[in-house]
Amino acid sequence: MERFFTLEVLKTIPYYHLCIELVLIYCIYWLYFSRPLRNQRRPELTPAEKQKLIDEWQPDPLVPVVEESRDRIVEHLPGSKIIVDRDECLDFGTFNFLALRKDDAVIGAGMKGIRDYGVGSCGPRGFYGTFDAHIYLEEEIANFLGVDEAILYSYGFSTIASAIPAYAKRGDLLFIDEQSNFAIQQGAKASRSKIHWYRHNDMEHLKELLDAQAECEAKNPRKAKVTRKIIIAEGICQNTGTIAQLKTMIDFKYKYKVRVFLDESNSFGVLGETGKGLTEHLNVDILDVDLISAETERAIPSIGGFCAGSAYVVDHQRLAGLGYCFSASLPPYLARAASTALKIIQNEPTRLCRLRANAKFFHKQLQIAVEHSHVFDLTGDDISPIKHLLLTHPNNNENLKAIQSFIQSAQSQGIALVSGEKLEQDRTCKNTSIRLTVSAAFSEDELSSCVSVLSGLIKKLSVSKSAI
Amino acid sequence: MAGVVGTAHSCANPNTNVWNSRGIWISYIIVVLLLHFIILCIPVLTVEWCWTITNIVHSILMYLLMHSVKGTPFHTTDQGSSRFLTGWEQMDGEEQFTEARKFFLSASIVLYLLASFYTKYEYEHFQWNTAALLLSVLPKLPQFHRVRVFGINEY
Repeated sequence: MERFFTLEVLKTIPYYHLCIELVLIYCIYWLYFSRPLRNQRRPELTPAEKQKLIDEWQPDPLVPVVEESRDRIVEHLPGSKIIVDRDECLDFGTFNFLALRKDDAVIGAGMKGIRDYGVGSCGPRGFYGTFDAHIYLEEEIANFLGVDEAILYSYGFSTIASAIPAYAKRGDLLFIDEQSNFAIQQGAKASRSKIHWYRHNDMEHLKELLDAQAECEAKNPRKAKVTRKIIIAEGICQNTGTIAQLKTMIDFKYKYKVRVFLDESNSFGVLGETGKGLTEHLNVDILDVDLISAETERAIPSIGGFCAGSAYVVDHQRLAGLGYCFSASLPPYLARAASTALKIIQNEPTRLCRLRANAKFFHKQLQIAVEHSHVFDLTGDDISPIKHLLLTHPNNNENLKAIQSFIQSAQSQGIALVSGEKLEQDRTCKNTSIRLTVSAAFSEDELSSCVSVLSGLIKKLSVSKSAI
Repeated sequence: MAGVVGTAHSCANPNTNVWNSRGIWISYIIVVLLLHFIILCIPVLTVEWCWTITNIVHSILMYLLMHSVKGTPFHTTDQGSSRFLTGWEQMDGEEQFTEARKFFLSASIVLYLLASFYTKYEYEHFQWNTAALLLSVLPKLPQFHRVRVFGINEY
């Protein structure tokens, strides 16, 4: 032991060892005098470049310039009729599929809810914002759909926009329909995943993309193991009114080992014998779809949305769904109203039948009106309550004007329409369509009168076009 | 942020600053010393082998915990930006030459120097210790940041 303390041993160091030790000691020295270093350093700008940037900078005006407002003023709750700018019109603009927006039972439930709970929930679900109304509604939705669990969101848009980034992360792959609505686009963007857009409702194209992906994976199976792949589609596409080909997607799901998320915002309470949505309509087992999300702002006339699926999948959102964790929960009276509406859907299947009959009837009539007009094309399936009249020959500068004037003249003849106008950030933004929403409230006469007004206007347009 | 962590803090990924938390360096030194004393308690081993084994075990544990495990155990809101990074790479938000990095890198080297000294610079021990040194020092170098040699631990 004495040798250690007299450092006698140092005299026996072989020279290679000494070299290594010296190098190591130099390493420590180097380490301690190195400065912290960020990986991506910003490039240093020369004074000239700085000046150039400063010169180029144009301040935004304090008050942005607002275009002349095209807003129309609606005066009361929409039924089949609506008062727009003091004209009484047939309402083809509101998402009021089951005509529940003016339903006394729903409104009554909401009023009672306000008396019971007040108007707000005062916090997110995790922080004092959970009320019995939320729990009941979640249970009722889950029971209605026949899934384990449902989770409520306080705003329709944030439902799918939060659900997607809860599961898809950096390095994951999303296969999304090109014409998906803006909420899906924003969710996909927020997820930071790689996005493959497939052509609208084109299963061949989706298959091509999946095949290409499978080829990549065969080359690198270790990477494939840690990559999640998700197909995202809308039950009824809001931008076209087309029904998704869910059966093929489910086939792909098992063939290519991908997951399927379905946005049923426009098909929940619309499709299927009892209104359960696309899965019921196409006879697909609802458990084959990994996650179903829907807004409760369409067929159910409330605010908010929900996701439904297996408990294992849905529960993940209770900590990872940002819209669920970090925004105040749905006002409980709205949850009450939604519960009541859901009960009405279950108890009055005739509403669904009427909606379906109306949608089919209207589609047929519109098709006749649009045929050979060379002005508009009708898109969407006949059973879908959302129809789009798409400009046949879009002309970039004139689109919006043409559509606005069409809507204006329709309104003066008692038909309230809306354009399929979108935000600039929306990748489907073309602003070339008029959206028509069918409701169960309409009678066949009302639908026919709408079509006769529209066909009159279309004829006028096509005559003026051919005159040019 | 993430509810599972238990305390409120503004850090998106607790893995980034755990190595700067109060008392973590001294705890680390104590753990290494404890490891050494436990190995010293094994009767058949000579003091030299105890030092070499301490060094090897330390390197292997370092490698497994800091350089092979990836991602975080926490629910983070960073959309998985740390999914493909090891614990060492996440340290201090990927910044290089920070205090913590300097400390842990030099700790490995000091342990090697000590082990060499106490094994009296014998050739057999030298081989084992140097291999262990490389295992724990190479992946810590800034030059190996986000580098996966021969695709080891790439995904």
